[in-house]
Amino acid sequence: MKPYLISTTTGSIPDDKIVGRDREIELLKDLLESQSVVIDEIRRMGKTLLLKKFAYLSVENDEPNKALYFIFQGTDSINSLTDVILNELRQKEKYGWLKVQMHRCSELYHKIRGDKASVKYQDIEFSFALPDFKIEWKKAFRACIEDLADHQLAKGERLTLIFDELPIMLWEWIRTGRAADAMAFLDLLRDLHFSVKNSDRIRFIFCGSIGMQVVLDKLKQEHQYTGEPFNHMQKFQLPPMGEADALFLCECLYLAHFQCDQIASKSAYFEDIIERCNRLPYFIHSVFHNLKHNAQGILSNPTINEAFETLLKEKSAASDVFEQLHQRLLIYYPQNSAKLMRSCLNLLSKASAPMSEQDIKTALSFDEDDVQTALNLLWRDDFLHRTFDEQENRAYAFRYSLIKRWWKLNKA
Amino acid sequence: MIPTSDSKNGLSTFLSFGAKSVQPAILEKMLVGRLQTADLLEQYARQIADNGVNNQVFIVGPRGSGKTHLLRVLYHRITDLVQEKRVIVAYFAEEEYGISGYLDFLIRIINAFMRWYDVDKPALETQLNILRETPESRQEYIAEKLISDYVGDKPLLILSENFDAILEALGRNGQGKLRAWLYRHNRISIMATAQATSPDLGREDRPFYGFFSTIKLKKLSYEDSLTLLTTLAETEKNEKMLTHLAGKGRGQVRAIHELVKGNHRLLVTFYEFLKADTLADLSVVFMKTMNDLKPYYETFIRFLPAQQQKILHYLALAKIPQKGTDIGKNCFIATASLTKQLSELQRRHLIDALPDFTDKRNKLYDVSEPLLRIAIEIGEQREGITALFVDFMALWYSHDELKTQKAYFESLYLVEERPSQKQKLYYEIYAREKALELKTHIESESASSILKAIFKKLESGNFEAAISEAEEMPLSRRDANYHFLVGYTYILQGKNVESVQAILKAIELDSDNSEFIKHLGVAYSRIGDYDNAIEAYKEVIQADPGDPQTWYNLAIALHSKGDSIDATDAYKKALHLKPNFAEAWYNLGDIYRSKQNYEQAIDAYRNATELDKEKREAWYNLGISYNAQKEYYGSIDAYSKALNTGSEASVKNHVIWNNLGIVYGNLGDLNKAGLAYTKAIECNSNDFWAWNNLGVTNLSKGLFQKAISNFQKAHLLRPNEHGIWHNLGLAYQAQRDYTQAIMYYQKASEIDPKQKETNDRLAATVIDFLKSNKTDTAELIDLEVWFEGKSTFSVLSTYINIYRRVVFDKEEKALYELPKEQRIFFEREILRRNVE
Repeated sequence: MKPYLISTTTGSIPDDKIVGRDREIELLKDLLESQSVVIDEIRRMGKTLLLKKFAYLSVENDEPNKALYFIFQGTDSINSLTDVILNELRQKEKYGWLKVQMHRCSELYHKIRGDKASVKYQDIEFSFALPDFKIEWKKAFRACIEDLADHQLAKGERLTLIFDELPIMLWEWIRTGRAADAMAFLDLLRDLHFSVKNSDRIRFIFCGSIGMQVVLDKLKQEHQYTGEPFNHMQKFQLPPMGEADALFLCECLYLAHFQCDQIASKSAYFEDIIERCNRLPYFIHSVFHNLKHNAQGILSNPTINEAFETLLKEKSAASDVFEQLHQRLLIYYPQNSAKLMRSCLNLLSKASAPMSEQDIKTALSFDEDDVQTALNLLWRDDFLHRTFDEQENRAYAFRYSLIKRWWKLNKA
Repeated sequence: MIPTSDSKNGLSTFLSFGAKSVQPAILEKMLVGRLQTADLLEQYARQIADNGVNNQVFIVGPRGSGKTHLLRVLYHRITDLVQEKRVIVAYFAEEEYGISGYLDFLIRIINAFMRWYDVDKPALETQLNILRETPESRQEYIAEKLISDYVGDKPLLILSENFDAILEALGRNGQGKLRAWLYRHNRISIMATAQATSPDLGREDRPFYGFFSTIKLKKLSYEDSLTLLTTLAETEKNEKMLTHLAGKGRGQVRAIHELVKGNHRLLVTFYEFLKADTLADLSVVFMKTMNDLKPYYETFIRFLPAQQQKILHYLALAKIPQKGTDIGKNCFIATASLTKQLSELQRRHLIDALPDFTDKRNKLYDVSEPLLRIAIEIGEQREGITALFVDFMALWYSHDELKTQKAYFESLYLVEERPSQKQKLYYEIYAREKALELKTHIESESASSILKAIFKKLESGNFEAAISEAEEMPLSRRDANYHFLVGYTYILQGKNVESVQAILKAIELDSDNSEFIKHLGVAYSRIGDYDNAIEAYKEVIQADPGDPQTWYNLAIALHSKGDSIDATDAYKKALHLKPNFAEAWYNLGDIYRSKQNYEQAIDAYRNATELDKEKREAWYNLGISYNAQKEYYGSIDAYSKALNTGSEASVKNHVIWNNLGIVYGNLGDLNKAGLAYTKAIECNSNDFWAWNNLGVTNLSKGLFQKAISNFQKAHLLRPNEHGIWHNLGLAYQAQRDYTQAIMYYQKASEIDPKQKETNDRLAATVIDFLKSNKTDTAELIDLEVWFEGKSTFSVLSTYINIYRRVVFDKEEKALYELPKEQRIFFEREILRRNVE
């Protein structure tokens, strides 16, 4: 594929400009053949872009099994959630590829409301955000999804519904006193899984940065929630970009008016950048942004070094992204756990090789069981990479060397 | 559809605060210090239109740093894109307030469409009416749809000022909705400005966390400030001002620059101030400017939480940086809350945190902008304008200027008889007296903190930063010690010409300080001015002959000048005074060695290595000296010590291994010699001599192929080295491969035709070749051609010719072209005939 210009800034990228990730999309499709998927990954790792590209290509290539992308950020209630889903479905229906009869929804709506809403704007004619609807939303939601399942069955195709930022939506609901709604919605999702299971025509991808497990832990600890709504789902871990994708990303970014001090060194510079960024696309973008902003877009060994120095040492959007790892501990974990987890990370940031669990326990003056729990949480929350040594002892190291270096420089 | 434009005004509008309504050409001219950023933003906007990408950019800079200016320039530069609707722009004006939620934000976009796209205004109005009638629960959705329909498949670019305030107003929920919309819509870009990095962008649980690429606007440098003011004067065609700015005005620009801390907008305000630079007007203009600025600064403070207001107020009146504990105590703020408020004030760029040199755990806090302090003070002044004006004069004028003015007013005071005028003049004298006192105090404070800062930078090895700190020293505080410190820093930095100049200044102010003179010698020595260096050292020695270091330095200068006899004496003096002076022993050893006095060199180096066992160079040179004395075991021992004092990867290791190989070779231990050369090559595979010597060793051991391979490696490293061609010739000759041997000897001879050994070997090999009876005509003709005309080989050349004719052309009579004795030799030795 010929490189095309993409911008060095981060944020949203148009669907047709999202670079690479074809291998990951194929892996995702394979997983979806048999079950629904959960994706937990810290922020700015490229989850949303992967899913948007997945959905975009399924339509663009007119694949039989299509995917629909929903983003739930800012969805502050059950009502608006239902609105988001129905509005999006209606939009897609207009494009022609999604045939939603929605007769069950309409029947239900008329049963609850009696009349249609009095105000029309173009073809939009109904809203479920009405007081009576509050008690019936589960039925409406279920009716909508089952309607979709029936339709897909008739066509012999499968539809994947991507619910992006689902955990953060639930977290906000819990934070603002609506834990009951969160639990009810989780139960509904689980029920739906079973009710559409027979037809095997609907799959879900639940995606978010804070980790569904963190949400469930919170509900379990503070609201005695006992459900396991994601047991039946497969976890998908988003890896860094493949080498070819990462190099292609550099080629595309380079087209945004960059130059090399020596053109013969271009490949070597790209390799250096992707290696030092651990092939994480956000940081590759950030390094190019620094090069553009601080070095007039000239790539050379000194400017690349300086761009990394800026990335790791200066306060910027990128440094905030590193900072998230620290903040996550403070936001999502109790104070004592956070303190211990921080100590583990401080220690590991200074270690030159993976450290055995026993060595970590010995080095830290905390209760050994607590250390083990903390390490397990850090591993589960993607801070750490876990390996086994020859004696099959657990050993831990930072998952990404770039983040390790930042932690060592700024936190340890 | 043509966007409306309201940019008709000129420079006067610009001068009266702000870029909103100024002609684009003037805005472009005034882009000092911001041109690169403006170009980058334009590039981003054109990428949105031309390349189908989005750009999310957050531009951060304090009030008055040129953010509005930048967005205006950007908008004007992309007018073509806007007019052709290749990008739909929603440009939020700075003063558009009233966003209380996500819906308001969307309506702001629709309003912007109506404002900038006249033709579409009626249709948009109608749709806004529909929106007004829509039930509240559907309004956000309808507004999003209205925008999507208007934009169509074109990219939307939102240009917004004060975006941090907008994010705050949106709240976490509104931000979530906005982010979700950006992802759903796919082609929306935001280029926004803010006074400070928004906490909404930097927290992990906030929707726009890490979303934008941030561009921080830097404060203008002094040079930028001068350029901006000069550009203003040029635009105004103000010749008087231009002349002023090219001369005396520069000092004042520096004062203004310090006062406004490189702030664009304030700099422009003070442009007027420069115009009124007469003594009589100064206090009036000063107060007028301050009063004009007061409301501007009040907006800084008005919207702050009460605790932050208290802190600012306290710091402003305290005048000097304060400790956190004192701030808490005086403002009655608990420690936990104080930390938060201080960090928030820093984030807003209203206060600075400075290191506390007396206690590294503490920080000191100060108001960021002097003008903000003065503006707060205005409201608090009980003594009229005196104290403020005194403050200002202390910043504005130099020491000497204040003194001159004071003297001037004093002379007027003496002759003035009118009481009212006399009182006025007394006030002027008093004000300058106070300003001088204050300046002395400020300069003394600042001098001591600058010195501390210089030392800190020196400790950390950051010499350039130390020099930058030194440049901040007030002129009146630049004493001999200051100049010496600067000179010393230059020495450390390797800027020796500058160090000579600085130390000469120090000596000018204090000619008796022998430390200065000694270092002057060092600086002279570094620039190769050995005569002056020697003179300086001798001066120091005359005053204090007991300093071994000075004798040592003198010796180095003498040796560098070529006077090794006096240098030897000077080293001996240094060593007499300090017998354990390892460096002096080492250098003395070098002198002896250079004179091939190896016995004394060995003694000196041995003393040096005994005193400093880690002195690698001394071990190395000791090895060389022992080898020269044919004391091979001593040499091996010294080289081994040299190898053990450095790291395995030491740069010179390969040289030492090579030398060790030579010593083993001298001892006839070819195996160890070979191993040593191999080690040298392991350390540095580009060591020509190691490859060559390994080749020679292998040749001596009869390992011809290995030798050839070694020589070829060496040959690759130095293709024009005569010796290596010669050695290759040797190796082939030893194998009786005459053709190859002759070729290599020929090459060697071409490179250096005077090498007798090569020429002799070439001749001998050619003879052997002829004797071998394995030649052919073609080869012989080639040889004839090569040897023809080369006087060294005239006989040989004849032999080849005769040989070819006799052997291949059967021309026996050719033999008679040789004199008898040669003919006999030729027939007997070459043709191998039995002749008497």
